[in-house]
Amino acid sequence: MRKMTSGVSVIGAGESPYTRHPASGTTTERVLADAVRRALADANLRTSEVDGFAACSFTLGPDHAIDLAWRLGLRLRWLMQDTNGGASAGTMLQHAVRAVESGDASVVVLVAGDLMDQQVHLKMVAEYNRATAEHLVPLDMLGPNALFALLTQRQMKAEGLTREDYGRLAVAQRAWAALNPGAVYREPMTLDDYLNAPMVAEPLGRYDCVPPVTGADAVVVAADERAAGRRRARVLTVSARYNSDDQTGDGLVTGLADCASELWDTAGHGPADVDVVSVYDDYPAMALAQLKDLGLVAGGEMPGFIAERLATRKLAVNTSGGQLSAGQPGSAGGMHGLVEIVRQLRGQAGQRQVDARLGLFSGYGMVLYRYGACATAGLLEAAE
Amino acid sequence: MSVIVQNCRTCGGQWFPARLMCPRCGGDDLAPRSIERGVVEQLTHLGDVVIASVACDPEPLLVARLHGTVETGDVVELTDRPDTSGRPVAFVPPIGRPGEELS
Repeated sequence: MRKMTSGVSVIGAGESPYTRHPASGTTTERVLADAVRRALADANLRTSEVDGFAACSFTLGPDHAIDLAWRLGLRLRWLMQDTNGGASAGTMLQHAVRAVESGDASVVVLVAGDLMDQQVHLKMVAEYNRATAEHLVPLDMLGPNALFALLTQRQMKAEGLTREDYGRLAVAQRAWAALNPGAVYREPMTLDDYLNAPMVAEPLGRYDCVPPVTGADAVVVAADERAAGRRRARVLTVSARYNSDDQTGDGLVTGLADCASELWDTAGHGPADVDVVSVYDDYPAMALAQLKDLGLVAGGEMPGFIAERLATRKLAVNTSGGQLSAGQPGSAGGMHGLVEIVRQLRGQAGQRQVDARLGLFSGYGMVLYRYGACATAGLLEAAE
Repeated sequence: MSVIVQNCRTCGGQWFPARLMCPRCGGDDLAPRSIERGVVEQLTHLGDVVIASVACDPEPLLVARLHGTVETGDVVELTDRPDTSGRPVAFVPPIGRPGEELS
């Protein structure tokens, strides 16, 4: 029997500003440190009060989490290094809440981020894993765009979706991004802009593909008593699935489909109760797949859902603009959505603030061969 | 022309890329098996490069580069060597170095 999380909250969040073109001298560790510093300032805590630390970064090597902790001046009794990229926020949070519950740590900082200029990005996608290096790169296929083009074709057929439908999702997220000073692409985008953009791999055009950025995101997880009297985002439950189908499916169903019932049952809520949602949007098709897996849209109803719920903001999804407009900071892509949910639940979302008590975030990633294999999701609620 | 995949001698499962144990039955008696053709399920263009999902009967699903004139739904010959002869083939880079891993 799964136990609901008790008495553990996210009490601070920070984001090192995203940039498409990092200044010379920018390093992964400095970007990660900037996010940690901002999250601790938001939580009104000093580094000396941190006793747990987890980090995920594709570009930190040869250093590891302990090297980073040392250079940050953290003395710890709980340490974790994660490698799950787009799903890392859920992975790290799942571990951190249990560490705090059990007393193994009292204040845990989770950070993810990368230095991601064009050269680093090309190296990362070429050496992503052995399957990529041995079976995909020799096809003259660099990066996952073609894989998700094939997957998107399958989803269009299965769900009756058109490029216009995906475009409405991208346009809706861009409109949210206009209200987020931290998004790299904030200028208004029309459906025509989306449809007329250069094709990348049909049916994916430029605005279906996330812009890689340099940046980092961090959150502070602590027992509720550390947040006395301040607004916090209480963690109700976190759920994860890894390698749910051995890459033998169509990729349209993520591991979140198996997380959904335990997530809702454990938290005592249903999809209709959610006020704000961050789903991992490496491509519009994956954002929709996760919304379906989590029970927010039924199969066959996606076109109407996009037009009537997303575009109208009746359901607040990816209110930061998502990675499609805010940018994909390497392995911080998953933390981006968690940071946005925390900000919304703590009333820190500025012009894009929605009336939110219950927030849902999900992460997805680590393409093994044909699609991503890691999926995590969590429910948080606003608390004083 | 063919592509070598893993065949589980215990349950008959066919796998690509190489696994260490059979995901279906947990067995580790995985032998090489040649597969000569598959069906193009979807294809997309990255510039001049045509990338496709190719389904073998009954499995596995492969990511391939298409050469020659091939359309969705076509049965296509599989090869593990780059082929520039112009005839319709689906190129799938092989598992490991020859004789390794599958021996």
